[in-house]
Amino acid sequence: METTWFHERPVSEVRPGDHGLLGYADAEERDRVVGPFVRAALATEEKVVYITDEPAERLPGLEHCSFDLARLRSSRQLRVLPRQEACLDRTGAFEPGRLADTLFRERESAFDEGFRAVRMTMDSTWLLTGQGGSETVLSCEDRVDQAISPSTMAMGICQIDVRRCGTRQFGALRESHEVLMRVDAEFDDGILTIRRIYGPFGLQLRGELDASRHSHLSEHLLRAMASRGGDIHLDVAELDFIDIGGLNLLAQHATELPKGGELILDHLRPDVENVITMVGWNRLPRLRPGARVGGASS
Amino acid sequence: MGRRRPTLTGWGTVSQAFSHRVLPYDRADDLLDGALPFLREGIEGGDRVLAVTTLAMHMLLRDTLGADAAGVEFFESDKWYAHPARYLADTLALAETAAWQKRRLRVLGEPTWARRGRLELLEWQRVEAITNAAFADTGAAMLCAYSRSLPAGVVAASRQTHPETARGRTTLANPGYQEPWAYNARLDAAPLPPAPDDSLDLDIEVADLYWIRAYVTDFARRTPLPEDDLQRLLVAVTEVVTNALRHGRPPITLRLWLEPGELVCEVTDHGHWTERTGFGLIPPKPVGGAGRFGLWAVRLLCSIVQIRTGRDGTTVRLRLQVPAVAAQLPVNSA
Repeated sequence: METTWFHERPVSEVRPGDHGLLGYADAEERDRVVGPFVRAALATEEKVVYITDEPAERLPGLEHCSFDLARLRSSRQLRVLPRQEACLDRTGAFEPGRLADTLFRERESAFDEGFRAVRMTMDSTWLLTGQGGSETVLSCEDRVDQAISPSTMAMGICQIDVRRCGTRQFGALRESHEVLMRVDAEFDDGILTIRRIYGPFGLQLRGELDASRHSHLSEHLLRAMASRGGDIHLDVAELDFIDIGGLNLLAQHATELPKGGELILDHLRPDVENVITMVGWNRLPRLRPGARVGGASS
Repeated sequence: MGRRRPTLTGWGTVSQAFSHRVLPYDRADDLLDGALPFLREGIEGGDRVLAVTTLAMHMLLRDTLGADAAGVEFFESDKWYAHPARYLADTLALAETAAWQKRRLRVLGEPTWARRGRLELLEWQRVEAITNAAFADTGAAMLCAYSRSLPAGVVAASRQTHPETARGRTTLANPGYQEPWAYNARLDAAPLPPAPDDSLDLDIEVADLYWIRAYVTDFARRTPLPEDDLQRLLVAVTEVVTNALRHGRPPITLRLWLEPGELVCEVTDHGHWTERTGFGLIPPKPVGGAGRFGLWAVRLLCSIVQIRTGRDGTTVRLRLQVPAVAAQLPVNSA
């Protein structure tokens, strides 16, 4: 939206050479990106390199899955590498060169192992909160980028828990990644796109909403409302049109929110806001404008 | 009535009777003779008192009321009476809020009639008539000043849209007063002039209105309609076509054309409306009033909405003001 030069990419559209950043606001968001990223690889002839100290069966996309993890690991299609092995020195300190070497090695061997692509991921939040902080992460991003971006078969996702790093730190990380990873849309028919968002929690609406698509919005809004209490945010920065029935529908669902909860419209386009103002916000109780266009969320 | 305070009998309902009187005047003195007792009664009774008149009349009222003027809120007619549906919505909201606070809304108003086009004039006369239905439960007191220097038809019509005439301190029933919905129906008795031959026509067969909006946008972009107003037009057209698809009967046709100073968009179908409340003239209650909210919202978004319904079908004509342009644009070519 703002003056950014990078791309936002739903996880199912990730492509070779993508070195993506996932800033997740909660575990569900992480699982909805990393899960499909990992599963899509294992379901085809692609290799997964996951750097983590967690056991494989507890990783996003692998928990309660139908894959035979032991077999995938022995065939080297699934590589779950502990940090000590992948990127730490003997004293347990992070060693950027070692991480780059690991990624290179895994990428190079993938071809000989018979895989057509390799997907790599690591949660880097621990680096930000450790000694050196974002400087440490930024110093190795360049090398990680070299291990992924020029390749026609490598894809990577750096996971960052945005709750545990500052806005400035995350901003610096954004600049070192070409692609921002997003969860896949829940609904997309070319005219309206509905996507779950997490920071703040709610839905992103894109395109045009009228009577033909009210039921879809209702379905996904009710699902979002059922999964969390409190306010629900709708990011409508790219909602070009909403009809009177759509506004009514939002107001109706807002009254079903738990006591005191509101439905907040963030980044309303001025011409769309003008229509709502003319109709009267007072007729849409518990629906209110939130963050302004281009501004931060409230 | 004097100092009697209204009593609340229910949500937004005041037992004190609603009044809507016309105050015809020749000179400022006549106006003051009728307006001052009206305003003073409200100030003493604890009403919310508004004087919506010209700036010159504000000064005269302030001078005459002296310290009492502090109990009156002054507004300019030109801004207050800027748009029929928005005026009705805003003023009704004030009346309902006052009633909820166990007060009465009291308005001395001087509607603007000069510089109004013929259709606009009719819409404001319609508003005067509908006021009797819309404000009936609010207990509001409304006194409307009409200068006798206005065109004769305007003053004559005011006696049909106001139940009573105020003359000084006395009040007389208007024998020519017409029931609001009857007056409204009479205004719409005459058929609309046909759409021009060169209107841009589209038969609506698809239920996906995305394409209809693209079509309307394409037309509007070739007219002087400001970009900001386009969204209002699109919301209004979508609402009317959605209604036609849901409640009307095919064939449904959309027509677009330009008139001097206006973009006109017409939706016709072969259905027939029966409910008089379906015309969206009265704002629905803020709570739980989803029903016919749509058409009323359409009135807020357009300059003028004209509706004709009968055995031959239903026509809804939306008019949006456009800035004047020197030369007629070739909107049907390109």
